[in-house]
Amino acid sequence: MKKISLLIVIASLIINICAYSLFEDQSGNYIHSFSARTSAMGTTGAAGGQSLFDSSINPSNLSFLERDFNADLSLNFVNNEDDRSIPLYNFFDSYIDNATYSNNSNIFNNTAVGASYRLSNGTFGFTAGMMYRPIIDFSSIYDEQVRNDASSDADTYPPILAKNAIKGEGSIDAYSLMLSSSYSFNEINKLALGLELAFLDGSQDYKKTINWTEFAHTAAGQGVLNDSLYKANYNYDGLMFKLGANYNLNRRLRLGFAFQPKATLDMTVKSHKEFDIIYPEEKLEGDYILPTSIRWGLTYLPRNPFKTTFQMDMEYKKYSEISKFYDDTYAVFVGMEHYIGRAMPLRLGFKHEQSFGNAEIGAISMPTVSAGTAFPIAKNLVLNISGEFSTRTYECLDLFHDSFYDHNGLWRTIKPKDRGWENPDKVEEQFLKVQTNLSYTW
Amino acid sequence: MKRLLFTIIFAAVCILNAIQIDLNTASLQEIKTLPISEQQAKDIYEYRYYTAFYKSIYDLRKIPSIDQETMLKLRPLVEISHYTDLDDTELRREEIYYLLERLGSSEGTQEGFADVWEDYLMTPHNVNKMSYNDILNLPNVSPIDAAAVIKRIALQDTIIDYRNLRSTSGLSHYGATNIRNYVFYHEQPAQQKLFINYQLRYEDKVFEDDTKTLYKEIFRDKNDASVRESDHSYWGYFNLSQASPAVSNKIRLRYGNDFKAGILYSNQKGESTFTENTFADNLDDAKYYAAYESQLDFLGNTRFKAYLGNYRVTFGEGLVMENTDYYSSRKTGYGFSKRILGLTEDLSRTDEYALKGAAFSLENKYSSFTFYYSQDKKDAVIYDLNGDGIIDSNDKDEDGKYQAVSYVTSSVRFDNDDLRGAEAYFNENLSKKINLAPRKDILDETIIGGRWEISPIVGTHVGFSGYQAVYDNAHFVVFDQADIAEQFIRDSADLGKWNMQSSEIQNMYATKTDSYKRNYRQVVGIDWRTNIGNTSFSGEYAELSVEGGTMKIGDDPSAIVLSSFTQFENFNFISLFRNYDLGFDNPYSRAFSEHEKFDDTVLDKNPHTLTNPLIADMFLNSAQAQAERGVYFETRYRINNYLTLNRTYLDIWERLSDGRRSVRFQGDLDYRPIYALSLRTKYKNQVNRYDDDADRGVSKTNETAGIVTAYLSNRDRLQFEYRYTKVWGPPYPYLTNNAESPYVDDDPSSNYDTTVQSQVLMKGDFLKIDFTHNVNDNLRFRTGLGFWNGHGVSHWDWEDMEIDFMGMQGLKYWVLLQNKIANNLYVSMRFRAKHYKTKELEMRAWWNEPVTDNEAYFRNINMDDYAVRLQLDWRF
Repeated sequence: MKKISLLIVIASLIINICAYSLFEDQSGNYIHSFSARTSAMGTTGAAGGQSLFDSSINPSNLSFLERDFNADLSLNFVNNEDDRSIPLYNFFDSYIDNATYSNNSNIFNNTAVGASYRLSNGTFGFTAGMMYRPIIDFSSIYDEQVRNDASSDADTYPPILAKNAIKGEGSIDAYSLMLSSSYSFNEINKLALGLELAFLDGSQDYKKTINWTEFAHTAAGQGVLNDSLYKANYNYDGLMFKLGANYNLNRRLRLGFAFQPKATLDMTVKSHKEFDIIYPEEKLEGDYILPTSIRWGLTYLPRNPFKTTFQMDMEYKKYSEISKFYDDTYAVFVGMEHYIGRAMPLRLGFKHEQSFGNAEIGAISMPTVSAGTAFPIAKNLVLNISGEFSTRTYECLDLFHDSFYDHNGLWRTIKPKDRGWENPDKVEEQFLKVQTNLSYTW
Repeated sequence: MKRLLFTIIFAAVCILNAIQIDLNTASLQEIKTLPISEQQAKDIYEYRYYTAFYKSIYDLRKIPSIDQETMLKLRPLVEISHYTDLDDTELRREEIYYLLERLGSSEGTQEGFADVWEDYLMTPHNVNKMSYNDILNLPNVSPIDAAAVIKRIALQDTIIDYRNLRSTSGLSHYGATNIRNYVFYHEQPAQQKLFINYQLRYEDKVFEDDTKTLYKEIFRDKNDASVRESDHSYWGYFNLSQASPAVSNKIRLRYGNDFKAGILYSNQKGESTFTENTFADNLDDAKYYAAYESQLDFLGNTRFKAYLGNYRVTFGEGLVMENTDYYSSRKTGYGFSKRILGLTEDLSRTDEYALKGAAFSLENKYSSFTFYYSQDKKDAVIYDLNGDGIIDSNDKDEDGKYQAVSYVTSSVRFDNDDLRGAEAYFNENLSKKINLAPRKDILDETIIGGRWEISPIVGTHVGFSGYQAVYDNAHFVVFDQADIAEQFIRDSADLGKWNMQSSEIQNMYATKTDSYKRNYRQVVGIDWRTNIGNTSFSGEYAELSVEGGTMKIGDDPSAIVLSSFTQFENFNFISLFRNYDLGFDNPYSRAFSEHEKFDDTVLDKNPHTLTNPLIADMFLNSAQAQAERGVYFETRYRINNYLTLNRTYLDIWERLSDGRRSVRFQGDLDYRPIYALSLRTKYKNQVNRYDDDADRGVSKTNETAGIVTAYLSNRDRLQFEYRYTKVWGPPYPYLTNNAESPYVDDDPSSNYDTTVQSQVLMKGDFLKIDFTHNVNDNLRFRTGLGFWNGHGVSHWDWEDMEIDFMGMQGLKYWVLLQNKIANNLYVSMRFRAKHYKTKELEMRAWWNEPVTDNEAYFRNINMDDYAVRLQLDWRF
């Protein structure tokens, strides 16, 4: 019984972890790549090698970098827009679910840096690289107002009863050592193998608050309403491995494969709750799991008036390793790069990803379109820029349950009650991601 | 001495020439022998490999590392040969790329034809050996054009080239242009090689509004004041907010011109995907075929076709058989609304009316014979016969058969177990249980059909066709008038919605009636065509066997189409008469009509009143023509070099279910003062009315559009369009109440005041800009931007290859990328964003409170829709 209670407590804590999107409560937001080129090309890169940060997708890509020394600095911005709607009913009793009750639009950013160097004798090559990058981001901001049912028919805003907020900060960062060796069978056929060993370290601060307004205190009577606070601090620590292989089949085609086995991170949680009383701090320990992922892809170099690279990847993620209620997911990535003129690339991409979903709502599809280009700034120095747009819709439970606001004096005619999965919220999200990276090669 | 010197110089030049390196064939090692750096040699080699073969020495300057000086230094040392590494197939593909692209973009409207025409394009046939039907089946070729070519061939006059083809008497310039890319003029060496086409198509977009309405209907009794829960609708229950995207994978194989095979797996939006299904389910849902086509010389130059798996059959005017799921209004069979006649492959997205089995045809110039056999399971709407609220195998009659209402093409094909689960859940709230529901693959259908055609002279034929569909496990049943409305309508207060138009439902075909019981549906027909001068006359008459004599003509529900097509060089004229009896219920009929079956019935107008709104798919995805009687005229006239009357038509018809009469006219005049500028004006007017002037069913629509198109250099195009629409609709009582109060005498306890006050006038306008930019021959961008004000008027817009319907007020933009990555790889990617407002009358103050009339109000809702499409085509 104790065990079950503990599991319930851990589960309730885990559910509160969030990032960019309030949906990614289990995993945080994965940051797939810090290469603006890769990003612009639909995050393809299993058979990449045109950018140092490609090696975070497949470490054997290191052997295919054009120059011996590479250094990259990357910065990305993500704008997440989250619209939450509640179900309503129209004249014919059918429900519409586009009456948005909260809109949150926030910008988050991340930075990564890396360098690599290759030793080669023509046939054998050996490349070593180091990289710092966040792989999971827990940043999130959410605000919501609770208003009562007064005066809404008179074209005026009803008074605010409470302000709800969620704020998350932190990330899991990877400090990676990457090694790759290659063997050239001849001028064309080349095989490369790669390994990434990443030390993962991270923390997350999470806060969820409900603050009553002065209006509510007056309406309900002084001393009746108590603000609510929940705070948690998470710490993560662990190791992650990634293996990769790349093979140049001919001058036009390269095949790539990457495998990341399940990584289990140690997680410690300290949580704190205040409502009508201040609860004592709770400490818990648990696991945070990065599921197994397998990715394979190709790079095709056709003859095209605009020098062209076409890339396509597929990825399988075994989310069922985290929970049997989660679906395993598949993702498809397609990207193309054309050189318009001598040095101006036009990059375009498409990505179809699935979020893991859960027993109630299943996997969630998220299509993405992307574009980007690059500017040579100085000799051996290039600035890459990309933009990605993604959208998805899903159902979820109310983040702040309505029964909390059920107090005498606050409402005119209604009695707020909790909603379950029979009447969930609809969430529409759009992500706009702008990524830049500065590459120095020598 | 002079001679010696000359000899030495000549020898030196010869030697120098002899060692000139051909940049289009030299190896990297050879290029490295030139007096340039290793990097430059590599760049020269890679330019050829990854960009293009060299056309001249000056192409070297396109390489960043080669400057003018280096180029001049290399000029005497290198040569540029005319070289390509493309084989004949690849060269052909290169040549017809723009046509392949055009076919791909018309896939939406001419569903499934693109595959057939693509094969023709890739391996054109010898025009001198083609049959009348072969030529007629090419895009935009008229019967007059086809007859002109065949008549000439019949006179043993060989057509030797395109110029020669154009001189064919009776062949229009337009016809010749359309034929030219699909034919050769002499026997080509047989390309006994394997052609492989693979296509991946991904599409994620929101459901159409009508479909949403149907799925979002809440199952509850009218007087039920309890909490309304979204999961008591199909939308909420199946969580369609996050429906999976539509994905299709298609592989086609062809060996020479004789052997063909293919497989298609696709799931529509919201259906379970390939990875979620079992292998057996995927195989069930897949379409596939294998075919053999050959010329049998020992049978007097007879063409033989045999198909196993999925195939498509179309005859005459589509009255007896044209098996597609897709409806197309005003399908005359000419020009852009053409049918491919005969037996063809089928890897289209058609599912419900797909034929699966075996078929063959034999055709020579005097006669043709087609036989087809299909055994497949179809989706159908089934009655809950025992009334227990569960539609399952217990709902069989005394013959052990289900009671079916109709075929149905479901917007989302849910699994039967899932549907049963949903219905059981919904029934918890209902006093009248769900008694009608669609079921996937419930109907065992076996079709045997055939056609025999006699063609005594070129361009003239008479064909006899028919099929019998045998249903082993179900009876089609139609209740009598007193009962049928009760079966379809949930609440007795809504029985008034069962209007006269719904007599179309009462007149559906039944296999079990009071007077007979059978297990089949049988349709027979006769079709004909003849050309007199420059006019082609054609027609088809068909009968559905009901209670008449098997061999007797005229005693059963029938349908007839008569049409003529007159062609001059700059002018053509189509006239068409159709008359389809209300009882002619042939699910495989796709003949000309203004509306699809069940238009304006309760299935169309009032899905919320149905016992199960899901059966409204019978209308929403109906492909069958509505029972109409009317005449239609259409013309195109190129008046002079500047002025062209584009497709202009007039249709006058009567809907036979309720006698409503309509007139529709559309005119389209194009003025091109210079070639690069087109000024078009389009006008459309439609009036619907009943003979009884007092009837409120009168409606009028006026639509005027001005379109300015500038044809820029490099095939770029810029287009502006402005459209203004006015609709006088029949007054809708609920929406035309007293402006001050919706209640009688302002008393909220009273009923709604349903007094008819006036007609409803709606006005709307639409402005759009389209731009096409060809970056080069391989890369094209198309983009569109549109604003509209609907005010109740429904706007439509052709975006790239699909039609979009818009509501109240909004803005949208879309970008399409068409990218030929390589000679065998094509990518098309499209993104659309649509932001619009809509208004809903809501009856709600809080989600979990009982609704009272006082809480009704209009609410503005802002909608954001995004759509993404990706298509990859690999052709080997």
